[in-house]
Amino acid sequence: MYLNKKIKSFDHLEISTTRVYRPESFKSMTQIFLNEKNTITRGSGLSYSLASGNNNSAITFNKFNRIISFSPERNEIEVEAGIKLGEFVSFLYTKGYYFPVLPGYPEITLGGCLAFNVHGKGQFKTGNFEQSVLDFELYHPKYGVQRITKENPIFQLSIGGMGLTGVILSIRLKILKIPSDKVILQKRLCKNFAEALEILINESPKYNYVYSWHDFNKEKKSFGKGIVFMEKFHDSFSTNELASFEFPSRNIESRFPLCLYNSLSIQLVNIYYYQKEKINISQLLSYKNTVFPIYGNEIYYRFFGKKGFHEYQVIIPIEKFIKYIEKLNLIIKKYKIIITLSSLKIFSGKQTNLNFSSNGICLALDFPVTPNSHIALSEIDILSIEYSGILNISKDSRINEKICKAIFNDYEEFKNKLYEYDPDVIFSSTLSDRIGITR
Amino acid sequence: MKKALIFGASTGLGKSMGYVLSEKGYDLILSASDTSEIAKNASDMKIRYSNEIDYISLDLFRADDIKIEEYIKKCFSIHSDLSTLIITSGLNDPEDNKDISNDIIEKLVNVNYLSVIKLINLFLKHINLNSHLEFRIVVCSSIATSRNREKNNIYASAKLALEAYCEGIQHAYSKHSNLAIQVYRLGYIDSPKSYGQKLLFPPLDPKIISKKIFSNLSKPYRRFFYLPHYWFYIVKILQLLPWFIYKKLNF
Repeated sequence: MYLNKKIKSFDHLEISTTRVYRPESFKSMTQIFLNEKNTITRGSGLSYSLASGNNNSAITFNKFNRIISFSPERNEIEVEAGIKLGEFVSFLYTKGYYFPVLPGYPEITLGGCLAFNVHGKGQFKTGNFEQSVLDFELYHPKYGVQRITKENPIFQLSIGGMGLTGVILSIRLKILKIPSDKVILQKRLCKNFAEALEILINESPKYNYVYSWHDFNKEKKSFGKGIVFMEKFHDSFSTNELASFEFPSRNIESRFPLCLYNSLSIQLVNIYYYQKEKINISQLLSYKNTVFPIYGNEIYYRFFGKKGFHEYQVIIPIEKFIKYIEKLNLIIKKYKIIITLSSLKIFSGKQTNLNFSSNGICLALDFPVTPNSHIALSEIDILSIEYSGILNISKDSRINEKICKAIFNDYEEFKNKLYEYDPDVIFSSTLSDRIGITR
Repeated sequence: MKKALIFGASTGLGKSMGYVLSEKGYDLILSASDTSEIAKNASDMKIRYSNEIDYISLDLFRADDIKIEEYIKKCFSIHSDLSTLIITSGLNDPEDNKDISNDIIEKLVNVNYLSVIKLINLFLKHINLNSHLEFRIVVCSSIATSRNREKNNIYASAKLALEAYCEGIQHAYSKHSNLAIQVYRLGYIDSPKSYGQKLLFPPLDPKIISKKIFSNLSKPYRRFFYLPHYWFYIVKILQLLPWFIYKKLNF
């Protein structure tokens, strides 16, 4: 049985009507392929772009959330791809371990993390998700179940491969011993983007996680006034027993009928946030309270209203960043875009396939959909290409084939290899069709 | 440490029951026809809760008397003090209507009734009712048994026969206060069978049902339960409907 469902991307800009299957056993999952010739695997469906739906069918994998093996002596764990990060992190914590590459929300599945080769707050130290993957099990109706090791070319094709190489069944991961149940959070106020950049570069070697928040609506010398957050584990445990914790499901997908963000409300929110955060410049927090920064703040997305929002995430080489952001600001001001959130992180690594990885500064911007926002984004795309920027395709349900080709050097090679592996295009999504990979 | 045997533990309610019991410290034997799924469930439960979790597969449709006997012997060789038997397995078939074939009748009767009562019968023979242990047999039936109709007629008949059998053995063992047989008439549960179907009421999370069944395990109840409870009233109304109305219902 399946459920006919309207699936929306997290930013509410893409929609598809999909037959959603929800198998509970491997056998019933394989039987889906007897009737369906085109499908895509679905985790929690929280991708900003429609990566886990198409106009045919999708397979929800959330019933496959078991721990296959746990080897503390080898610092390894193997889990099914449908396990959610919250559950995974909580289990590891009770055993005295942690996983270093965590995107911001506990409902995200590990299968989704592999399919988009996600990053966390400390990408400059831990790399993307790929760096923690030892191997994984993949099912494709043509090839059956395969154990994909790093030596197998399908490994690179699947990591950040948007689920197009098949159903990821389980993943074997490297884990780390947790040094403490407490995290030290230090904050540094910065007057503008240039100062933030200096702090990020200088402080990153001393911390596990370094990221910043900025008020994009300030002008001239204060443009980018904000706070740099720096986190590292405390050097001892405050309790002997690491008690389990939970992240009960919250509604992150619902939206108010109208967008409540405007220039005035954003100014007030930014002033309030800046003043609130600067009160405690140094804090000792429990590990649980630092892992998923979006958890508990779901209302932020609700305020965008039913029309949706844009997230623009780009990596720009460090030396070009200040010029890039100044030019970006001109476009933002020209089209009267209201930036609700802007943030920086340091990135390090080689860019491959369509992965969001490179050396540079990662800038993330959120803003509501307006009549001008799409035109503004087209101009920003041109600017990003000019400054050798790398875009995050999982965060943007607007990027098309032309932009992808201009940004990703491996685009054609990736497409050809994928076609060679899956010539019948059994796996495709609205995203992969839009960017011309499976069309 | 209490020991339980769960039949139907690969998916749905049986799987969920396994997680609830292992979290509460039970040692378990998981059973179903799908070996690979029960093996993965057992491994996961063991890692999470550090209990002793074993699994033995048995296909109730294909199992003959010898296989069922061997299976029960194997279960008691793992845990001689096995005190709880939970049967959540069940099978229905879209062809269970007035055009049903004899093959499907045989399959439905075997899986839902015949093999199950053989299993219970052998379980009762292996337990020592004079011991200090509290014994429980939990059988999951269905609200389909409340009044038969064209759809799922054989399934409902087999489950009704199972309910009747349970009442009979409860009577037979009434002198033993340490044995209780609990029969659940279950309403809509979120399962592979109910997923995607248009139902009159929203299906309940198997975790909620499992927790309810677990909370009753410690009590010496010997009776029928309706889960969710509101089905008790719906069933009563359905049973009181005059035939000239009932025959016109299409559900």
